[in-house]
Amino acid sequence: MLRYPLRLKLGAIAALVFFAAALVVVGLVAWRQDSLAESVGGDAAWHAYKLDRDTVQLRSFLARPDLSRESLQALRLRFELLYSRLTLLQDGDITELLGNIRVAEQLIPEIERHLQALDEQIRGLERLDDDARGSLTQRLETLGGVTERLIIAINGHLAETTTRERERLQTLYGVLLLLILAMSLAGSLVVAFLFREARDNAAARRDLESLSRELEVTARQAESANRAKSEFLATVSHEIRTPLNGVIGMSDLLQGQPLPDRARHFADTIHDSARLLLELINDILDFSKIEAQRLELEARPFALGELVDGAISLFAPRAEARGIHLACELDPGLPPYLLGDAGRLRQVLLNLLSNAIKFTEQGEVRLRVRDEGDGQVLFEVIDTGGGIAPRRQAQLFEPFQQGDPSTARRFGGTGLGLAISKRLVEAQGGRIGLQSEVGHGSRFWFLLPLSVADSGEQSEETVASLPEQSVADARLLVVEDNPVNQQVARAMLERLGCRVSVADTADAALLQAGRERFDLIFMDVQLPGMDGLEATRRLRARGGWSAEVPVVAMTAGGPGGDQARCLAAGMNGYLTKPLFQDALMATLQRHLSPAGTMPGVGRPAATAGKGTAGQTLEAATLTALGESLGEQGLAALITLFRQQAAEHLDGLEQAVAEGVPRRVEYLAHQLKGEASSLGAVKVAGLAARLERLGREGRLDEVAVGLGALHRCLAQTLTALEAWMQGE
Amino acid sequence: MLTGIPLRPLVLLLLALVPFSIALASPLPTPKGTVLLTLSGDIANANVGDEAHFDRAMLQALPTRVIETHTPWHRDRGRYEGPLVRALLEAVGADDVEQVRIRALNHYEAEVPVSDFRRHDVILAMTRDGESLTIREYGPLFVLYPFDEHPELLTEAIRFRSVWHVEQIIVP
Repeated sequence: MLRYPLRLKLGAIAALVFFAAALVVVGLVAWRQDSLAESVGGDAAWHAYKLDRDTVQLRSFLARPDLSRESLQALRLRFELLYSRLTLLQDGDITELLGNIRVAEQLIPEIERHLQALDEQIRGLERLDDDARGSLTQRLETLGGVTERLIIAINGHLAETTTRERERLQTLYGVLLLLILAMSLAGSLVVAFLFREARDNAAARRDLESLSRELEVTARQAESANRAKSEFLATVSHEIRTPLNGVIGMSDLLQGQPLPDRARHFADTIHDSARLLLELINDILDFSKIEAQRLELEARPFALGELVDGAISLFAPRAEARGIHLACELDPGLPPYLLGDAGRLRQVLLNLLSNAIKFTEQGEVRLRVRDEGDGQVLFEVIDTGGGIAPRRQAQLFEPFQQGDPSTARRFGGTGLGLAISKRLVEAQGGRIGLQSEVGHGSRFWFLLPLSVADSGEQSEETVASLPEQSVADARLLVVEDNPVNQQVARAMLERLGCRVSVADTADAALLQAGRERFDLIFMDVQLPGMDGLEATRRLRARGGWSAEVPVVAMTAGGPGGDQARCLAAGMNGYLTKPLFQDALMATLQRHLSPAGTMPGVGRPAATAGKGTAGQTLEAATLTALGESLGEQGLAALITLFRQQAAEHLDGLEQAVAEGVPRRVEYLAHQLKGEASSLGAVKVAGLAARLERLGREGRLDEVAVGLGALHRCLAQTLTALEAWMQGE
Repeated sequence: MLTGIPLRPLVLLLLALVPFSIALASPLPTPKGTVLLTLSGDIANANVGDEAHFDRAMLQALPTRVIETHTPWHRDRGRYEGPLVRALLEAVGADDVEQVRIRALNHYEAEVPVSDFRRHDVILAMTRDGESLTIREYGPLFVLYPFDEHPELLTEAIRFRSVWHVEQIIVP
């Protein structure tokens, strides 16, 4: 009630008051209807009339000629009845009314007097003779005159009273009418006010709705503008990457040519600069993806030790060149395999390590990985560099910020690295931060929730651990519309000994694939007209070899190049441009089986049924061996491998116990070679790692690696036996 | 328990006999004193011809009630006594009619629904404060409703039915 306006309240109160008043008036009217005059007025007139009439009747009784002796009795009864009327006038409820009538007040005692006289006279009678009749009649006549006057007086009074009552009632009715009118008016005002308020409310609601629609439109515009910006950024980056692809590819090829020293220096510079440029563009592309919330995170098992080692070994030469000691501490309590996005983790690690090495003049950079419990893993990069002033620390993780304005001039870079790292860590549910003291160094850390993976069976294959394998004479089809990229791809693949056909549209590719058979197809995703995804789908739909030939996507990392979409379209692999020799080689080895080079006897790499062995064994190698040695030969080879591997492992353990790194390196190298020739890629990978650790003299880590090698060897041998039975 | 005699018909028979048995059990005596009230018309019990005549003693012998009340015709509250009208009607076997006509000495006549007598203790007042009612005081018999006990009875219709100087009740 309080929040309603005054006039509404007044209107409502007025209506109520009028209503109450009207009720009072109605009550008054009802009470008046029931008033004295109304209820007994009629009675009074009636009794006065009966009194008068009884008097007249008694008189006419006396005038009857046939009165007998019994008639006295009858006279007495009639008189008694007449007398009872007087009792009524004096004692009944009409007495009060009669008291109000001045004339009647005088008449009643007169009537009483006459009746008393008559009473005495009648009582004294013994006979009803003519004298008695005469005197009684005379007295009754007088009484009749009085009773007649009483009737008239009562009637006159009643007439006046009735008129007065009617006037009063009319007044009351008038008041009632007025009150009802006033009440209706007040009610109408309230209704009108409520109506207007409802109308205002509706208008306000309409305004709000239109405002919210406008806001929605504005928000959509802003959103589309933002999207357009992201698209633009992605497109520009993509457009830059395409020519860069040519520069890097060509300089890569150029480096493979015999060149005079000066020209080699130029070629190296071109190659390094282009790579640097590519890194910058990748950073920008990454950041725009994160900002557009298009970051896709994977959750796959990976080997933490391998990842850390890989990161360290990548920076080892650079640290060495700068005279900095690069150390690594991996908590032995950490599980060997973890579940998460290894690529993104590596990206953050590399960024922190790269910064630490870049800004440390002397001393050491140390990477420490610890188990913090609750599935949290703490990564720390500690350096003995110049440190960062406290007021800079807060801005450090913001985009385009660097430790010092002069840093950009001295070291270059976009300043996006830490911003990207922060977003990547937070996207994975972790935290990142730093402690730093000027002059003493910095400690960058990040904490990631990484759950334990059961095994590394599905972990990503390390490219470097793959055994070398001939890809010569493989027939390849490169579908690529950009002439520079065509040349790069052709030159690189031909250098590896492949026979390369090139198609510049999807239609041309489908046509060529219809005429000729290929061992592998490199398919650019973004093509003029039909895109690579659609071309792959059509190829798969054809059946025959087209349904099974490995198709590897080449994307510039721009929009539409998502790995999941490529795989869904039926592709087998995924390469990001620009192309590098080693990545190309790895792809070829992964997807080409040696048998595949011989049409007709080829077997698709990793068919169903070999799935369990797929990760520990390279099916293609085993198939090729089986074909050249025969089943018995292969079985003998596997038995030999079993013995040799056991010996090597024993030797390795002994070497670790005796602390002879060179022997570790040697034995691991031996094992690696044997394992790869048998297609036991995983054992080969682990052995390669031990070989490197042995070379670097890190015997404590070799001890940890040996356990993994033991387990992996057991798995591999089981898988080999399964393979033999499958054959 | 009687055996061999069907119980139900017997009970019904006895029940059917009840009104007659009452009527037969108390035949109206012949009035000895002055007749105050005559009931005529469709009555089961008569004592003089086809009418039932009552003197003061016979009326007093009926079930009576005392009503203390004001009336519209008296200044003060009075203590009235007399036979219940419904008892009177039962005595003559006329309690199953819908209405009766009550006549006065002065030929005033009112039709009264018998339901009034069933619903209220309506009496034929014979005395006021112990004194017999004279004709001057609306006697000798006076149809009196219990006004004080039921103020809603103070209506024009009930006033009309309150017959004074009653001398005859006619059962149509």
